[in-house]
Formats: sequence, structure tokens, C-alpha cells
Amino acid sequence: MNIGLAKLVKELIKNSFRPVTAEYPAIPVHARPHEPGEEVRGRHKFDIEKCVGCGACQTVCSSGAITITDSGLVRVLRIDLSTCIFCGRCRDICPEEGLQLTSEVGLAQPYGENLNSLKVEHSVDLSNCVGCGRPTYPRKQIEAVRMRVLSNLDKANVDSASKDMDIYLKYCPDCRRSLSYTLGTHPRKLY
Amino acid sequence: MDLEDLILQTAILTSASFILGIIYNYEVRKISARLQSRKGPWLIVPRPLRKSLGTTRIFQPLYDIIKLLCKETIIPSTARKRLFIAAPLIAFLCLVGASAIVPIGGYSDLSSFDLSLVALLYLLLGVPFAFILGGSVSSSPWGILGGQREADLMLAYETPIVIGAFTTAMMAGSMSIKKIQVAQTLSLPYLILNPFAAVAVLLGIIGKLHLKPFDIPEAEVEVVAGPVTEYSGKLLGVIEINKMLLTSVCTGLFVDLFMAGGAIPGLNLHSPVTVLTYVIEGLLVVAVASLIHTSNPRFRIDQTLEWYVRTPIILAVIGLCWAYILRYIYPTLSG
Amino acid sequence: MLINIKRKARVYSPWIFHAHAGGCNNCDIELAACFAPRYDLERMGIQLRNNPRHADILIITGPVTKQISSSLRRIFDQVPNPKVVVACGSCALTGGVYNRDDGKPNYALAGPVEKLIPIDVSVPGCPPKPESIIDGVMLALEKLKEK
Repeated sequence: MNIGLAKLVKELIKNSFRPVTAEYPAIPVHARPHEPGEEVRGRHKFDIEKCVGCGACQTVCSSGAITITDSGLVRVLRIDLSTCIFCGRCRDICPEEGLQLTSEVGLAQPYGENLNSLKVEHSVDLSNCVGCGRPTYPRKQIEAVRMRVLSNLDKANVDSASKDMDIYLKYCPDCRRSLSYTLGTHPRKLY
Repeated sequence: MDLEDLILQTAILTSASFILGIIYNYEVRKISARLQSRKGPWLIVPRPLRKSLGTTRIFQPLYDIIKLLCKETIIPSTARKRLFIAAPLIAFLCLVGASAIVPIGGYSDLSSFDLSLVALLYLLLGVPFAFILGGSVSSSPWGILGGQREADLMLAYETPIVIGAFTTAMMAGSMSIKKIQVAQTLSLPYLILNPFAAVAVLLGIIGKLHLKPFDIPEAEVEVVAGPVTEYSGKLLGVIEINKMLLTSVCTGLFVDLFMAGGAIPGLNLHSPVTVLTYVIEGLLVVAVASLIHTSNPRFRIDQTLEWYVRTPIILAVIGLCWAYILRYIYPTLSG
Repeated sequence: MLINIKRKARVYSPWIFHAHAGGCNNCDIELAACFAPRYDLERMGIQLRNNPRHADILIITGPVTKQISSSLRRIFDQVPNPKVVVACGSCALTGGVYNRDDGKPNYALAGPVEKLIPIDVSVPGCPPKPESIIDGVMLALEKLKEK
């Protein structure tokens, strides 16, 4: 027997007194001391207050898991967890921080049953175009755009700009284009 | 002794060695898991899981066997059907005979016959033959490859077992296992008197049980499962039963030949205490075997043959010479 | 009572065969981690077998490529009854990143697993965490009990 094997046997016997196996049923991932809880990316969660329904998450989704369907005046954002790869780009791109990834990773399901448990859904209201009556943008998104534009302007221009935007944001893109001259609210007007 | 007695005793001894085999196999799994800093099959299942997963897993190999016996059996259409089915059953019959001969704590009438050691070694030789047969007729390339490997390996591991076993027979002056056992109670266990032969036989047994450095015929990454590849369901269950019986018979052979079969000097050979010490000694032997099982990688077949010739066979021959010398120096030690 | 013992034994000792059907190998690594010291599945008496003939649970990872689709079907047929199929990872469930929803089907895929063989348990994630895989295996045990 050589020295290496003797060392190995010693190490093995040491091992037998310190099993490293995690408990089952599992302790929640974030409660374990050795794993950084923030890094775990699990089931998605929409923040109902903050999400404006802009759809930025859908454009960056690398596996096509996020779909947006407009029906009537309701826009539904749906994340299919069985397609999602949990890369977290949707969370990173979200301008309003309205989408978070929780640390819930135990997503195993009997196949074909409770399909809704593998779907995360959120719906937002759409607003109507005053001109043609078609649904345009989510109400919350319009509010968010207005806030963002106004906060970037000089104080002298805020009043006139907000007055213009009150009118301007009521229309859909087509109506804006055709009506911008008559309304006198061209989008490239400089404040 | 009439036939009815014989059949009854065979049944009792076989079932006893089956249960022992289950516990030994559980021990191999548990110890190798603990040495790898895993937990292995639960001895006590955690409380929240008891409803669905049972209280203890000490009979884990038994559950495997029951499950396999209840499953669908697939027989490949290109296999030779009769031989394919017969092979595990032949091995099973050999092992029933062998476990009737190996005394559990002194309880076996067949072991007191002369030449019972020879009969046992022959019966144990039948197991690898049936193993090879099953692999060869399964028409699977993995089965045939595994059978070839087993045939090579068999030559290597049977030699030290046979030489070592006959060394003990020579020291006791008898071919009867019972008499070898009694001779050890009169002097000292042969593990102390002749450690060379003991080590040789232990290494041979590890090869026979296909534990780690010598699991070449069943190497899962090389030949899928060797001769067992095409077996499934009930036939695989019989093969698993054979594995249990082989484990307990081989361990029993070692304990009987080198550790006096659990007999304590001064106590009657036929007593429950002897059975208890027999089991404890068996567990010790299996613990040593599973330590070797865990701490070694798999050998290649040519390395194995070379190693067996270089170490255990030479040890066995040294043991044989040592037995001669011992007989010459201390004629009183051996019967 | 006999049926009870039969069911118990089936639940107590499931053997797993792991079929890799294309993809990036990440699920395979996580599955291997399930049998490593940290998430030791052998606690429950589960063993990883390299042979479909010995298996009760078939774990499939990866979107099924055209090359492997016939082999996968054959592996499924070779597992003796009763058997349970676990689709592990997004690829096995829906095609995941290999099945982008841009109108054109991927020329290399024979579709996700459900097109070829019936699935019993789904384990989403890319890759699923070992805890998730263990949960999936436990769900598979319940399915096995019913079969």
C-alpha cells in the first residue's frame, strides 16, 4: 500500500463523520446560510402597483416566454414558466421595476394538470384614442411617460408642456400624425 | 438425517442467509455513502416523510427485489429464451445449496460432512458460470463482453479463494467446514494464525462479489451492466436475490474459515450467542470490504489479472507455506 | 395487503434512467448533482442506472433533436412497465430557447418530448435546481403508486 492510498482512506473516514447532505424536505433556498439568496432566480412576480404594461420585458425575452395579448381594453402579460430560462433580463430591463424574480424554485408539477400554476399573469387597462376610438396604450404607461418627460424639463417649460401633453397623449399614433398640425402640438416642438 | 429434515434446514438456512445478505448489502451502500460524505439509504426516515416513505430503509435491497419481482419482464426476441431464463435460476439453485452448507453460527448439519468445503467451492463456482451463460445467450454485445470479462476475472479470483480455503483445511486436518470451525475454537482463529491466507481469501471474495476495484464485468460506464444488461423485471429480481445470497455466503465462508464462525472458546458451539457473534463478524468483514470498495477506482481487466497474480495469489502461496511451517513448529495448534 | 406491499416496494425503490436528448448539458449536470453528496437521492433508495431495462423512472433532458428522436422512442419502449416519464428542464417541456416563437420551426428539432412520448411530471427551469428535480422525482413516485 502506498502513502497516497493511506491518506485517502484517512480522508474517507473523516468524511464519514461530516455528511454534507441537505435536509429534505428542503429548507427554503434563501434561508440557507451558505447560499446567497439574492442570486436565486425563481418564479416571477409582477408588482401590481408598479407595472405599467409597456412590454419592454417581452422584447428582451430570449426564449419567447413572455407574451402580450390585447383584447378589448385589457392587456394581458403572460409568462410561461415552462419556456422561461430564468435569465432575469426582463427584470433588468423593466423601467419601473415592476417585475421581480422570487426565490421560489420548486416548480415541479404533474404534467398537464394545473396548467395555470406554471403561468404568471398580469393585466393592465388600456386607454381609448379620442380621435378614432381604438385602444392605444396602457393608462399607467401614459402617466409614467408624462411624469418622466416633465421631470426632465426646465421649470419654465413645465406648464406649457403639460398642457400640450394633456391633449397629445389622448390620441393614438395615427391620429397624432394627422392632427398634429391642427392641434398645434407637434412632438418635436422644442421647449 | 432424513430428507424432510434436510429440506427444512436448507429452507431455513437459505432464508436466514438471504436476510443477512440484505443487511450486508445495505451496509455496503450505507458505508460507501458515508465515506463519500453522503447519507446513504436512511436508517431512520425524517418525521415529515414517514407517511409516504416508511420508517426505516434497512431493508432497502429487499424493497428493490420485491419491486423487480412485480415488474414486467422483457425477454429480447434474439436471445435464446430457455437458457436466458434458466441462467439466473441455475445460479439461484447453486446458491441455495451453498447457503445450506455454510454454517450460520455452527447451525448446519451438512457442513459436518467430510469434503463439504470442496462441495461449497464447487457450488460457488457455479454462480459465475451461470452469470457468464446469461450474458452470452442474451445476444447483447454488452452481455457477451461482460461475460468475457467475467470469465477472465473468474480465473483470477477463484485461485486465491481455493488456495486459501484449502490452507485452512490443511491446518485443521479436515475438509469439513464444521471441523475447521471446531479446530479454531481449540486453538486460535486462523485470521491470527495465518493472516496471509485470510487476506488472500478476502481479496478473492471482493473480486467474486464484484466490489469496486474488480467490478469490471458490470462496469456501468463501459459495458452498461455487463451480463445483466438484457435482464429486467422478475429475472433481474432473481439475479438480485442471487447477489444477496452470494454476499452472505461468501462473507460466511470467510467468517467460518478464518474467524471460527463466531464461536467463542469455552461456550457451546450451538448457541444464540454464536449466531450473534457470527453476524457481528460478518458485518465487520463487509465493512472492510466496503472500505476497499469506496477507496478504489476500477481496474482494467489486464491490470486485475496482473494484480491478482502479483498480490493475492502470492499471499495465498505464502499462507500455504506458513501453514506447513506452523504445523512443523507447533503440531498442537492444528488438529 | 399483497398489493399494498407491491405498491410500497415500488415507491421505496425507484431506479432512474437518464436520457439526454440534445441541448446544452446543463440539466444533466444538475441531475448528476442530485446523486452527489449535497442532494443525495440515494437517501430515498433511488439509484441511477445506466440501463433502461432496469429503470422505473425515465428522466429526459433537452429538446429532442431529429437524430435522437428514434432512439428516445426505443429507450421508452425498453423501460418495463410500470414506468413514469419526467421531463426535466424547459427544453424538454417546450423546446425552450431552441424553439423561438418567430414563426419558423427549428429545422433540427423533432419537437419537445410530448410530441414523441407521454410525459407524467414536468420540472421547469433552465436548468432546474436540484431541489426542484428532487420534488419532481417525489411527484413521479406518487404517479408510480397509482399505475
